[in-house]
Amino acid sequence: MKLSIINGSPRKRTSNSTKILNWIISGLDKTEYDEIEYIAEVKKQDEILDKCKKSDSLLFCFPLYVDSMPAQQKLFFEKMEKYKMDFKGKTISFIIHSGFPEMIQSESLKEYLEMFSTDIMEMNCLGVAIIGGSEALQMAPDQMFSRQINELQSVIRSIEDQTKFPLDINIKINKRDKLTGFQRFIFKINPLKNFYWIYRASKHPFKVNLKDRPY
Amino acid sequence: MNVVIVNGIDDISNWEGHNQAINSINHELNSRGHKVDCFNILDMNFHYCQGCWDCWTRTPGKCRMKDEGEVYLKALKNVDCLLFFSPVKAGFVTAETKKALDRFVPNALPFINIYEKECHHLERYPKSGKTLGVVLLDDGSISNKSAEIIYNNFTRIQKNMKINKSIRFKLTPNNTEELLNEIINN
Repeated sequence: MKLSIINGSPRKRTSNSTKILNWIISGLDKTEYDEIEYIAEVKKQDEILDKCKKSDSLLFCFPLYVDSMPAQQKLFFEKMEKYKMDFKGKTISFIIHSGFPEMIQSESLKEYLEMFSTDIMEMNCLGVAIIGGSEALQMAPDQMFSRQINELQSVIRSIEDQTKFPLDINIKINKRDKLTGFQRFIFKINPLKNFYWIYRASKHPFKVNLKDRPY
Repeated sequence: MNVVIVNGIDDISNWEGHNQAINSINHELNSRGHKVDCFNILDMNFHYCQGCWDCWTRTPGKCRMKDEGEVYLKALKNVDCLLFFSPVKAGFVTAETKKALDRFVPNALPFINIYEKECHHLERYPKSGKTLGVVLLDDGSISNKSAEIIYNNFTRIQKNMKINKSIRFKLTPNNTEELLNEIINN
């Protein structure tokens, strides 16, 4: 079984998607795959598409951008649609992630991806895994994401065995659809919730007003 | 009222009638005293969002890309009615339309707080919009499921932009008057 691994993040090699895909790759044992392809290099999309046509299965990973896929990823889907006969019947899986802690933020995108792969492409969609709270992925050690990494093992098994993701995969990864009232309260009063952005801004040698209104 | 029209047509030759309909809506709104900024993304020097987060942590509110995205951001700041016109391709709005949606990011703050029981970004500018519309260019081939998914997705976007009113419309070259009424009366 030949797998194409596609990173749809505009941030390409330094993205959280790369980190997540490497978690997956490290668990692949019997699957043949090429190196990760980066479709945000839009000029390379046709070349990547040709490689994908020769694979048996596709795996996409990308972040939630303004409630759906990044535009570059959407462009790739449009190119795939033109050659749907080359993809019909093959398997496809998705891992989507966002900085938001709740799953509900990504559910509209999940619904689209299932419709795109099944109804439009007539492919066999193995599943759409959602990972929340991904923004700090780059700076946080993997241990902080041990639950997610652990639950992703069943995604790896599904890809290896070409079976559907477990139905409860997203509840297992994210625990719940929305925050509880208590979690919302904790979130509201948490003084550290904006730490990541203040920390990033402090890395510049000049003072940055994060709430600036330039226009 | 200030209206922003984002035209996400990615292939004019296939959508000439619809493109004319968009132009006539622009013209008609102007002649009725509304200020309209129309962005034909395909004709503009307008890059994809690179996900660099400079607009959040290095030059807050400004995109790193030196292109016409700046004019677009300025127009969004004072918009009353923001309308995305798009063909449906691969079951969703076009990549050109999505490109414009992605470039909205500098107008949000990186900070998140609870809004309607969910986490949402705070807005950079106070009250930056009252109506968000998605107008699908209808050539008879839009499946009900695609339309529903797109409309649901725009409901999510609306929540993230904290905009109260919505327009959902399927535009043919023959029903521009109906859409105009909806825009003006919304």
